[in-house]
Amino acid sequence: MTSYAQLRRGDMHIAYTPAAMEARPSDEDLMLRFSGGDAAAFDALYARHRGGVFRYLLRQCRNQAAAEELFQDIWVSLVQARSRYRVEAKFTTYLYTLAHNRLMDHFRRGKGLELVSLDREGDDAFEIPSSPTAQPERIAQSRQQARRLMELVAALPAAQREVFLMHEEGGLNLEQIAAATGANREAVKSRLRYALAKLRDGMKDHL
Amino acid sequence: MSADTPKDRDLEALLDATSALRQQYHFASQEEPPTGLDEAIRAAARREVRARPFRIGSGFGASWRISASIAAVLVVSVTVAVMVSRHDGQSRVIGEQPSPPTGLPAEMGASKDQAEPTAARRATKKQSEGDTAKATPQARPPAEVAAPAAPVPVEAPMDKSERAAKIDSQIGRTAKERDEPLRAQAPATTGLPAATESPTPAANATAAQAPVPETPAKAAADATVPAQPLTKKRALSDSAEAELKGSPWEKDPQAWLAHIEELRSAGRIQDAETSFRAFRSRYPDFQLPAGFVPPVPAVSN
Repeated sequence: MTSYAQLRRGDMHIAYTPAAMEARPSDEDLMLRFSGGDAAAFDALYARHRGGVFRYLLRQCRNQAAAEELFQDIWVSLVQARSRYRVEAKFTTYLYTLAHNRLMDHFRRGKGLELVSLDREGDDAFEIPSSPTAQPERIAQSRQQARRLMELVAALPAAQREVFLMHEEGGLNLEQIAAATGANREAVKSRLRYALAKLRDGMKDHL
Repeated sequence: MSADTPKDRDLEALLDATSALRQQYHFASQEEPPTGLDEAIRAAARREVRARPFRIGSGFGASWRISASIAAVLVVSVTVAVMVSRHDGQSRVIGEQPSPPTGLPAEMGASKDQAEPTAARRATKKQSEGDTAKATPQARPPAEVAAPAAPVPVEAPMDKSERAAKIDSQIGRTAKERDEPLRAQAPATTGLPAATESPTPAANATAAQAPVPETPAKAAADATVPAQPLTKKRALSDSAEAELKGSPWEKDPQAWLAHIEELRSAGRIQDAETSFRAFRSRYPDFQLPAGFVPPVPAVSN
């Protein structure tokens, strides 16, 4: 099953065409090429994962400035560690392990969770793509549902939210999430189930 | 996300049930990092690539560095080993002066004094063999191979005799005159035979029975053996040496004979005989005066 993260990164439309899969290098190949001195490979890799990592950080630390600072730290660390990179796991596991560790350091420094007002940027914060022929009432309903969903995600316990974000934004499976967070697979699975159940229950009246 | 095990089927079912919810999340979650941040990160990546084009630990860069490091270590090690061995060799030559293997050049262990006779001998030998045999450059004379550690100065006595003959010709001395004092002093100083060509047949016979060293090395080894009486003449003169020691007439045979005459006239016959034996050992060829009657029969002559 293709995740929405893959869909967003553009993986889905090529997933069923072997020729396209050969033409599109994997994350690991791009990272190895970057380790060998190919700066363009990094640009491609960054374009694939910049949004997911940023949203993971933003939802976890709930602070735009802190998220940007952590985001830059993570990618600069990856750039500087390119000579030590070995293909021992999927690149996304490596990337989100870096993100998780940076986030833990951020929390340990005392910069704990901050609640972000989902209304601070108005309705534009949840601008949902819609067709030109969509009805205004439908668009307003979708925005309301999105705001509610984000409130529910923000209300999740940190561990459950982390698992949910890694699954949805990074496209990691249970084993990869377990490797990135240092938790065991069953705990990750349980957290994901609880998170999905809470979101479904919270959105029961809006879907 | 696919279920990996049968236990994950419930999770798979839950994911399917919440697909609409998840799709709504993705449509709602559209935040992106600022463009300035993107540019800063990409610029950092390009700087890093420019600073270190090749990854350390792999590829051409790493193999080149490793190879160069190994080569440098080997060169330094060999150089140090050669220098240390040369230094040790020089110290040994200076301190011990070992006998170098015959045929080696002087700079490979032989001192200059030892190398020159070797070269001279080789030249002499080559000259002598040059007419009869054509030796290949690689062929080494059997004597040199058989005795590589033998002391080199075999020709030294010949050189010394030649040098002595040259000195004799300059001062007008004969070879016999030169050998006389040497023959008398040699037993007392070195223990070697006084002379191989003694003027008396008895002395020659005794000398022929004496152990004559065949090689200079053996002679050097025998040099530590204390002096032994080698001839009858030498044995008789031993007692006279004590009488001779410190006598004022040692260098004047006429005065010495007068002294012997005085001893005899004084009734000291034994002393006269001992002194006359000493006289004969010192001057074996001296022509006695017509009126002088020897106290004992002459040992030689």
